[in-house]
Amino acid sequence: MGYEVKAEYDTPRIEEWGTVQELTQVGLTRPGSDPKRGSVLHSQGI
Amino acid sequence: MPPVTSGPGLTSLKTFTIGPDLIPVGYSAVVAGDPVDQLDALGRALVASPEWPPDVTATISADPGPVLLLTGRFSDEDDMQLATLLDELIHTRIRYVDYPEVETVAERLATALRSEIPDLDDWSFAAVPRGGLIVLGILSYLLDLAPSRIVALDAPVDSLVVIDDCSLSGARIQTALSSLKADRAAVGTLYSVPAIGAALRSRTELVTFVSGEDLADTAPARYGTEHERWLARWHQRGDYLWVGTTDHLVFPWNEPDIGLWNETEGRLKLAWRLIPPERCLKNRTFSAHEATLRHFVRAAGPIRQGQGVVDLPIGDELVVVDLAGSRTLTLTGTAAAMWISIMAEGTTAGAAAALAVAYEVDVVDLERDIDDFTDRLSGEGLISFGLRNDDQPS
Repeated sequence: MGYEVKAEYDTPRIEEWGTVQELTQVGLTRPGSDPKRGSVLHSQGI
Repeated sequence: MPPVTSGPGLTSLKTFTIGPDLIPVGYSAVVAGDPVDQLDALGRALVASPEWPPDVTATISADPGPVLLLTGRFSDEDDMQLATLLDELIHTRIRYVDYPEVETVAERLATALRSEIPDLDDWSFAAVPRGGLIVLGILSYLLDLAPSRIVALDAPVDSLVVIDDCSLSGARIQTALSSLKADRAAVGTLYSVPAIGAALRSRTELVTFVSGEDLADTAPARYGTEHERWLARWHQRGDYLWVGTTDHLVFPWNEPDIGLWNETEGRLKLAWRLIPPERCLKNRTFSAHEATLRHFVRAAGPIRQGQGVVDLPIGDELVVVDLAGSRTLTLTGTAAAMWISIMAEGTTAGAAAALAVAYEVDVVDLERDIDDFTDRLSGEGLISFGLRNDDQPS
């Protein structure tokens, strides 16, 4: 008969570690991301 | 059971939601179907981006409504990517050019080349890798080019037409032109902005610069009163041939780069991609982060996730996103195992039996803890009950 080592048990806990925001909220805290279209590597001479 | 506690703020988890209202204009030409299909496609595009952070998870959920969740511990650079993504989703029209349209625009380019270059039959042709090779292959049939007229960019020929699929900044063609040994050169692209052709002709002795279709500069409308300052910022950052924005032109083989400016490093970086792999060859080459895409399906119950509650694993944690409550929670160790067992089994007894196999604990104690746990979760709105196994109506 096999023998299995069982995991240590403790009382379950929940932790609240963060928030949920619509992506539109990003712009409120970090305006001006300055996207630019075109070859990124060639723009740097690579 | 202890109350919900707050974790350390420095490493706080965030979830950003992308709903159907952020699906960009023109995306239905990329992915037909309902918003869930389109958000699914956007999620698959994001995780196919080489710059996608491997510790951020993209989750598609149709419950309670179509939504794409981006969950993780975002770095400053990730925040810049998120801001750029938002900017693109809001302001950019996707212009997906399928193969039939490529043929139509290539025919226009062939006509324009014949019109602009009367002695075209005496010219050789070379392609800017890689998209230019595809266009030159098509043009070789439309213009009935003998194979001997298709040469390398640095071939020592008298007259050379340089072909590319598009020119959105001019940088790639400018680099290609610097390697030419031909006496005369012309440029042909499927799509470009007229100002790029004008700028190239002012710097090099081009016979002509023609395109199958001209693209408009959308930057004045996009940036409004900020446009001049936006232009000035970019001209300070480098010697760019042309600075502007266009529709997001996408070919079946390539989604052109979107660059974002990293102020700290003082250089352009690649932004996340927008086109799913099945609609763009280039986006099929990077699959290392595929596992960070998840599709959430609410458990069958009777005990299951509450309305607007999405669970997903990140590393060793089980993350619970409470959309209605605007919070992201984490469960570790026993709590994570308990949540997973409850969702898989749907009942206290079933979950207790499953957990008793893995943990050194009495089943009766387990059932009591599971009941306490589910009562607490229910109170927090994180789970909902059907009929509890131990609470049958009499």
